[in-house]
Amino acid sequence: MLARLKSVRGLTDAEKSVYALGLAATPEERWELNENFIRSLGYWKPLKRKTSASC
Amino acid sequence: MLIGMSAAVVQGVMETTLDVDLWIDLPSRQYMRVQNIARKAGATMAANTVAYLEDGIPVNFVFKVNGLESFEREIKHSELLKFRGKRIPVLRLERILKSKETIRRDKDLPHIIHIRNLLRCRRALKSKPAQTKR
Repeated sequence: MLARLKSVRGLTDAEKSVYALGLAATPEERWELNENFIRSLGYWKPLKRKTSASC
Repeated sequence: MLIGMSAAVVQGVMETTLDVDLWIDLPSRQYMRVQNIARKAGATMAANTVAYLEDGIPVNFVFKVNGLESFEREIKHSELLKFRGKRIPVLRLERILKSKETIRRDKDLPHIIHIRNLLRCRRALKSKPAQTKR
């Protein structure tokens, strides 16, 4: 994938490798990368279920 | 239909987004219908058009998108992609770019650059099909 982006002008090799990664992944893998990153920052914590008081 | 940066991400833009934008084909006054569906799916409503899924992901329900045409027209510019286990219509990058170029909020500027670059890379791939080893 990266080799096929060699001819793209105006991008560094590092940038090309990022775009190559994005293009090579499946839609689900791409979303997983985003989700894992956001969760690693402490966002998107699962909601706590309200527990009803028992008698 | 999935729109915004979440739609861009599933199409390969290596950016991050803090929420999921869903364009709903309903008049905004009918937001309660969407709320009811979201609640049935276990989401918690944080505002009229914002729900938090059980796993904590915020979802914005959008009823009109600036810079784009009607839902009916734009859905023709979508493709079905797998997102969270389901195949759903996702607005194509070219249309997301058009919307962002129209709105041009500060946060859109880096997104515009990334989307343009990815589209350029895609075009390069199309002009250079993968070589198969013989």
